[in-house]
Amino acid sequence: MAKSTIYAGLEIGTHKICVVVGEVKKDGAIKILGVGQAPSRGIRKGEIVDFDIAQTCLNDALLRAEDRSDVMIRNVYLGVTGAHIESLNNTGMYRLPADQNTITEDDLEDVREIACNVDIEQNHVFLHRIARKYSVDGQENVRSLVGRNASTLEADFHVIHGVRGRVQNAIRLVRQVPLEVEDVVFLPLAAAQMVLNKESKQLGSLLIDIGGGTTDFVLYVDGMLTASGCIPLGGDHITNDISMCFQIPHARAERLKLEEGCAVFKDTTPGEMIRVEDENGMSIGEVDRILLYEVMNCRATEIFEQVHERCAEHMGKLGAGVFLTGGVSLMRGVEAVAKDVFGVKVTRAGASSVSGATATYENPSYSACIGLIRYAQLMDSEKPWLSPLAKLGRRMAEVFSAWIM
Amino acid sequence: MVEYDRTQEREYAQQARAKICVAGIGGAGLNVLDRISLDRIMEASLVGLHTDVRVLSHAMAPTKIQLGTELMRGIGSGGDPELGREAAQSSRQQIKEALQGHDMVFICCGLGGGTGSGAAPIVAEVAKECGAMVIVFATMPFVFEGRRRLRQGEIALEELQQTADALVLFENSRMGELILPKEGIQKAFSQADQLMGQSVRAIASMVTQPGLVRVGIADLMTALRSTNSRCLFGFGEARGANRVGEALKRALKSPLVNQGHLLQRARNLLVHVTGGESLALAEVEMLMKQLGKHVPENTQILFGLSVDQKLGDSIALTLLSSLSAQEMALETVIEETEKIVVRETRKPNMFTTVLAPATDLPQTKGTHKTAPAPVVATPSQTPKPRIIHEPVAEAPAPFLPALRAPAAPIIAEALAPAAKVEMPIADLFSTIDETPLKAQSVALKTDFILDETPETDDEPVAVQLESPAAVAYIEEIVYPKEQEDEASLTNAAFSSPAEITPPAALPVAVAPVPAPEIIHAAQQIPAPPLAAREPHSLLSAILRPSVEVPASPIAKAKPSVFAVIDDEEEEAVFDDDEQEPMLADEPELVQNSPAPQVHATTSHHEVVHRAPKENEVVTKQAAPQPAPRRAQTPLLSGVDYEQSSLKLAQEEITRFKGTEKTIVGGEDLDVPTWMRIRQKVRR
Repeated sequence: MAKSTIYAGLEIGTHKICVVVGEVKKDGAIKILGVGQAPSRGIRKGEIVDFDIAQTCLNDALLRAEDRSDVMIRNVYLGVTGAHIESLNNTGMYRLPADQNTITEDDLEDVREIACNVDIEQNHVFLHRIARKYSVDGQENVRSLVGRNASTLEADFHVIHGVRGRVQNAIRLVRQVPLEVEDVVFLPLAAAQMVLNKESKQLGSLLIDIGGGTTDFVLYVDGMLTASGCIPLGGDHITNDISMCFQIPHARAERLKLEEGCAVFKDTTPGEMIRVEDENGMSIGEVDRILLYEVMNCRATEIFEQVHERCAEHMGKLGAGVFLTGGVSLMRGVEAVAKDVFGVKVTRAGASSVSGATATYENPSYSACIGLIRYAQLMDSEKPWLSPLAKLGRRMAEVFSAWIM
Repeated sequence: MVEYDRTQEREYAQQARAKICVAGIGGAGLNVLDRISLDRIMEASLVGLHTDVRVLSHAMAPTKIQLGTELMRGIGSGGDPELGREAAQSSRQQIKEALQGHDMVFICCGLGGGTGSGAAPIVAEVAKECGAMVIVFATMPFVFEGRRRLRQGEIALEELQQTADALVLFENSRMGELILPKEGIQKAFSQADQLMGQSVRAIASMVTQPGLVRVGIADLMTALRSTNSRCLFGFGEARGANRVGEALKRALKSPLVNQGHLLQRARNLLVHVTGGESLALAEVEMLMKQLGKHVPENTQILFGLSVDQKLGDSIALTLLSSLSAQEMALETVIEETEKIVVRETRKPNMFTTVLAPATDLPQTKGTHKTAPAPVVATPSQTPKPRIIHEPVAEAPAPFLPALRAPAAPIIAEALAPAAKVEMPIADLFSTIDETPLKAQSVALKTDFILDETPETDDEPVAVQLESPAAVAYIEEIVYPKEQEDEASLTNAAFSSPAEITPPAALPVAVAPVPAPEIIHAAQQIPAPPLAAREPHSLLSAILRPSVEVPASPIAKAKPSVFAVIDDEEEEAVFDDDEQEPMLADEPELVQNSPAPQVHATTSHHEVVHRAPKENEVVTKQAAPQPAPRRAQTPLLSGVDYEQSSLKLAQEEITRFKGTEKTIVGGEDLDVPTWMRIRQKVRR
């Protein structure tokens, strides 16, 4: 597709709402045109709690992004997360009809359908169905299937699904702006597009995106998406722990975490105190540094342990190790904690392979959001190319069908 | 030459057509009958049987039999299968008359209730006596209908299996999956009826109607044969261009087939295709080909085909097979566990309310009378894990054994009609601590049987706590300080032959918690032959069977409450709490022994022998408590510092209030990690 396209990605996070506008150049390189960000309120653990407040924040972020990129945003790729999102791997088996011995396009379609036909709860909706591998007569990882001689065909799919209502909540919020949602993307998948390269996926890697309210992870083994999920713990919990431990307001605890925080407490000498001040510079108390560190360490360890628990069966396969991204990955000492828990190489990573704008975007907080642009690019390249006229036709059809409904 | 019309179907002799009777028993059975008669889907005589005359009068079945006219006087059996059974017994003659002369009897009933579960086995028996082939269509109750009904259903099912030739079982819970949660319950039930009606019709027409490829009774039996089987049934009807694909899709969509996943394990599969005159060979071929994708190669497919003009241009497909209950269960286990986790999270914190009744207990003077503490709690809808707890406590005045009990058992008492709490115990402060366990511990079966000691005159009273992964334990036994010599007179016997089979993850701790005074008392007595020599003297070591559970989410939900009990330093602050003066002693008294496994012991002797062992632990009291991994960290060692400034503000705790709780392994992850770790260490 020799054409540059502009995409917008929207992440409604617990800590911030972030809109990224990016241009995909003809050669496939991504240039970030602008990022609009607003601290978010009314969102807990990645899910919208207060609609109105969240709405205001979203408008804010959107305006800023439009301002900076000088692009009018109509469609967005919406990143979602939340504890309700689950994933599983499913294998579908298909026996070719007796009178046929080569695989056709229809057979592929059938086997995909069988593999994706997972029994999910009534109120769940599919977010992604990603092909992991195809096997022909027991021979794994077969590519270019059509035309191959076979009697049985197997497809292995990774299926991600979430609660319909909650996904729709996010979509509703965006539609009210009004914006069109092009696609809904599970955030760590988007982040993985940015952070992990092909090699690390092949070697086996675990990407952990620790955000404000949730910790999302995706695990690749042999280049295949093997596990993914979301744990409703994040930076917000660390702050909450601090605030409860020292009895200081949440906002103050947040600052304390950012300014003084560290997730490792072993090398600290006990007894060192940090003075805590309120907004006016009045001292409201003192905090034992080592205690602060330990509180943070406890929570960070717990977060990683939760991830570890869910990926336990693939733990031996992480050749490229663990990749940390997301806002909390900026916390001091966090990789040491991760190393303790996972026992493999730990890398902190942001979105590095983008040009344009500034180095700000290498900040791991943005990797998922920028990843949305890459995801959009990948999705579009898979779609068959439509002439503008055909696009218009489809659009009209959509409008009419909406009317009729 | 006479032309022989080869296109005509061969005519079957009239008498070959089997006479069918459909008997609907109980409310659910009558509903199915209504549906069948409304749809006029089959030629069969319909017989409705019920104990409740009012329900029966509304039924549409042409023949109605009121069961137990004399016995019940037209009133329903009220969910009691025994009544239902007796009613059916007394109306045996009538039933026989109605069923006589039929070749096949289909019995439709909903198991779990009184009439359905009680009468159905009798009706099946009668039908068998009449020489008919008996096929039972039964539904198992919804999970929400409670454990008791489920059990009744299971019992009836076993009986039916012995008499019936074939049993087609529908699990209502599975059918519920078909329906959106929001849709009315009526729809859920009617869906169940509908499916049952369909299957009755499908099987009846399959067996009776002439077909191109006929399915006989023998084929049907093959498909349904296997002991303790659950039926897989799928039915789909479609018309239009892609009618084959649609029919198959609908058949597979049936909840009893579970998207065709369950077919993967079937050994025999009966497929019956019915179509109008337009049914083409190519269609049948295509259908079977598509179906082949869902069925393993070595499955025996019993194929039936018939042309029925009534169907017009539509095509109907019936899939029928059976799986043993175990195979079926394999699938549902995972769902089960999920459900339990959800249930646990809903328990409110009842800690404070539990303390109150405990304080109200009547105080008896220092008598040596046995004081059994029977708490019978049988929550009805709890799953497997079962704790039988029979503590017979003989405790005289000075003792204030405090058994702490938060939520579950207490709620259980409220729920269970049979539950009763008698606490004639003198001064037994009893509260039983029960904590929801991890999700994996569903399989946990814990049996505490606390025997009586030889001195006890009373029969051991069973404290039956049935709760999801619940472990009751007597947590603290606290003695007031004034108490000294009297202690030696005490018969405090908690003999505990306990069988605990928890998942490995659970640390099991038996910790004796005697007051210092008690240690004296205990040391006076040479322990092992204790019971033999001084039958009336004390058995001072009080076993404290406690199954430690990673801190209860309930307790953590309100750390301030917990702090009152758990945090030593807090006591001064919260001394207004007059209910628990004894808590002041707690720091010295509470002692966690490093988790010896509770052995299964059945005789008192063993229990008595255990006493010195416990005493050993007691004497070690001065030894530093073995703290878990973070012993030296400021978090735990610097408790003083923290406590001085720690006044938990409610609004901070509730920062995550509006959100869904995150319960992992029985812990609420929203509660600060440090808080939970500290609680674990405390224990």
